[in-house]
Amino acid sequence: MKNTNKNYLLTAAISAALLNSTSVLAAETDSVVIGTDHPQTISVSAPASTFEQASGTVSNTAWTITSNNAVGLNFTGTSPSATVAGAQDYPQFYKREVDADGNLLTGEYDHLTTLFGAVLSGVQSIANQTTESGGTPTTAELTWEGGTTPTGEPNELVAALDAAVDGVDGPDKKFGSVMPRDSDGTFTITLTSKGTGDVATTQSGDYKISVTLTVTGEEKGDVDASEGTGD
Amino acid sequence: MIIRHLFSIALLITFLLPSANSACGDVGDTVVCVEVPQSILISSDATYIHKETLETVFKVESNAWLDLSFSGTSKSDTGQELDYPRFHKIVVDADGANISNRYDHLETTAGVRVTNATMEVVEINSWQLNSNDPIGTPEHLVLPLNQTLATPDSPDASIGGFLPLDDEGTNRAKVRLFTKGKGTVAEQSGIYRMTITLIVTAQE
Repeated sequence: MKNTNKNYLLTAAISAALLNSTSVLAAETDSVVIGTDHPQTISVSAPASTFEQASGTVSNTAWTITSNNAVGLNFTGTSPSATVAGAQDYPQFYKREVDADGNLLTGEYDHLTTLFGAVLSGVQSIANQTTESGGTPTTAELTWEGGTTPTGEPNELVAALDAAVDGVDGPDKKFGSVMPRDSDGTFTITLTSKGTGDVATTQSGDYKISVTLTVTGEEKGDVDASEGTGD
Repeated sequence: MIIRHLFSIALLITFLLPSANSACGDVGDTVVCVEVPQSILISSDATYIHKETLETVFKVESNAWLDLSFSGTSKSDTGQELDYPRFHKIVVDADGANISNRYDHLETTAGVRVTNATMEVVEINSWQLNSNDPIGTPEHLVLPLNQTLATPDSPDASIGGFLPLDDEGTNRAKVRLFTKGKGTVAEQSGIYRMTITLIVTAQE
């Protein structure tokens, strides 16, 4: 009997020792980092077409871009050569010539000397500003080729993203990525165009151009969806 | 003799393990009492994506009744510490550089469901869930245990205590945390994060 009791006590002691070796806690915690992707969206307002500007004056066309991250900007357009429709891969003020009876002549176009400038407004920042992060870009940094006093050639306007033409940076290379302002995710780019004709060689009438603005998402910051999801 | 001892140990462990807290057994002519301690083990399992909702699963192992609560922190839009979790990110400039003390956040909702457990409050195993759509606020998610003064109650006050059920040989419940973040174009795109801590407390 004495040995039996001893055995049971030994058994109980060993059991208690084994059980107490597990984690004994009144509370336990575990933390996870949960990540979710808020996607970039882009919308561009269609600007009103501009007519009836006198030769030698400027016309301003404004696009309002709405996005929640950075974008790139570039312009495209075409125009006819003196004889062939759509032959030039840049926009230039043109009109088809007419005869004395007012009939359109086939394969005969007149052009105005065309200049462009552009100005950004309402941005949070641009990639090519010289001020520190969180600072405001200068007026000069927000202006391409004279802005409202345009000096840019048509082929310079249509330079590809991050490209220069004839030593002149295109709008995208000049500005770099553009971050809209925080409050509503918008900013405006105003394209100023100016057409000047030679009274001796360019027929009077309405000259027009068609310019397309392409806005490309250039999302910045932490955009790795896999990072931080899960534990 | 050694075999007899081992048999006795195995018998006693088998006898004691299913019960929590103290257990007394009349073994032969000697009463032996051994306190079986309550153990708790939590492991975050995985995060699953259900359309706009994220489901984070915690596995909770224990041999007794438990209460749950959550904690977490986040940043205000000006960089101040908040005592509740919500999806947030630091704002970057056009060059991708962080702008100090400028944060965006998403409208964050949360909900909780406990599964594979016996519930203290019969048929109530969730908090602020519409199906699997979380509708609770982060501020309410982190209310303390038994908090009933707010509307809605804290997760613990709504769900009550729970006892993990057997799951492949282990008493293991699952605490499922559902979260969702909604933003507009005013919130910069990118990855929004928050850290949430699950606190499981032994129910004495």
